[in-house]
Amino acid sequence: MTISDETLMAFVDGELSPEEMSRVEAVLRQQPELEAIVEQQRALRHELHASFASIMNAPLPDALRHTAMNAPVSLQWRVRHALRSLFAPRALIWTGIPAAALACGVVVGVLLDGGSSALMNTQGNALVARGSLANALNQQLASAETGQGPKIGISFRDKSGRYCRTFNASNLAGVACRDAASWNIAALSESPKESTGAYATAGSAMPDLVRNAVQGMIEGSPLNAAAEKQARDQGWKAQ
Amino acid sequence: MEEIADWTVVTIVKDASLETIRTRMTAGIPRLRRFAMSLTGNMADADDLVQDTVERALRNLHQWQPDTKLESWMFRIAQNLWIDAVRARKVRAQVAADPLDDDDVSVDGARAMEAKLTFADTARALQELPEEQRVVVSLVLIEGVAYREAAEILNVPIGTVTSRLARAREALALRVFGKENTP
Repeated sequence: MTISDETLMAFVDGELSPEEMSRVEAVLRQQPELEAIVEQQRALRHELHASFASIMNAPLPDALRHTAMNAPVSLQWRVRHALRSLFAPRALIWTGIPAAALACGVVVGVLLDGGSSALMNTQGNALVARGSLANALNQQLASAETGQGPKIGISFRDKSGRYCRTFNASNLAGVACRDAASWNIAALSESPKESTGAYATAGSAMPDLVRNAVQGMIEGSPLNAAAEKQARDQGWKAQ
Repeated sequence: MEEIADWTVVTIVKDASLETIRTRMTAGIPRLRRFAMSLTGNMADADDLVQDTVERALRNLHQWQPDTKLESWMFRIAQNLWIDAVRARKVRAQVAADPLDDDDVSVDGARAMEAKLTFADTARALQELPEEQRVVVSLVLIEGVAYREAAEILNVPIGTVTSRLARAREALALRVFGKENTP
């Protein structure tokens, strides 16, 4: 009877089923040389563990504690968390900030706290685009190739005649509609991940939440490139 | 619930508070340091790796699935950062090591072997393993992580964990105990 190295190691690590454990034990009784290997590996495991044990009781460096307690947290998590805290188990699309949210100040705080979050700001009872997002909504055509900044998806007119545009910015995706002076955020969601890697970058894909919002808002079809350019050149004035 | 009438309803899971998460991260730092120490071989590099891991974890906190173990996710980040760093620098920790003398290893029982082992022997032998094997040894033998969880942390099939572990242990035994009593 032979036992693979993997099975022998799994025996040492207690990873076998009771039946397999019994089988290996029976074999070990017949083969002292395997028994010796098992004892070696038990000793090795014990010694390795013991070699590093002192670290567990060593004082924690202040710098590490400080980092864990203070290092910046992703904007995407903070937005999601604020929304979940307020509305769980309901979220994420809004068509106006509820009074309760403003009273709490949580959403406002989250969106205003930190560099990339300067993409939006509250204005009265609305959330409006600002900074690079406002610039992109004002100027950028959907066909534009952009590097790091916000990306524009489609442009369309809603049922009240306003121009609206979808965007992706800083791991958020949403729809903004143009009022007299500003772009109101009509829907907001997390961007879907484009890669499964640990460090997915902001994508240009449209989350279902945003797509559904567009379908509920749109009048007619999305603007084609010429109509988009014309609307931009005329300052996105509602028709 | 009139105030949410304007909201499209989707089902979501409530997060732990940030304060709770930070506290859990802090509580997990000793284990993370031990893991990093076993990977890097020295405390200064280990603490740099832990620092980077904690920063990365917080910056990418939205990628953590709250129904999975925070500690496992951070081990995963740490090992990814470490493997990336090793590959980028194309260096391996070079530990000056005297070749162990096979002849003076007594192999007549576990007690004798334990007496023979020293921190220097095992830690040095660990440092001489290829990184991918060392990570598995660190997780399973030092951190006591189950095979399945190690496979999830490393994002490899469980068979890869068991085969790397078997090869690593053979090499460690050879290095620490000498040739005569290894398969």
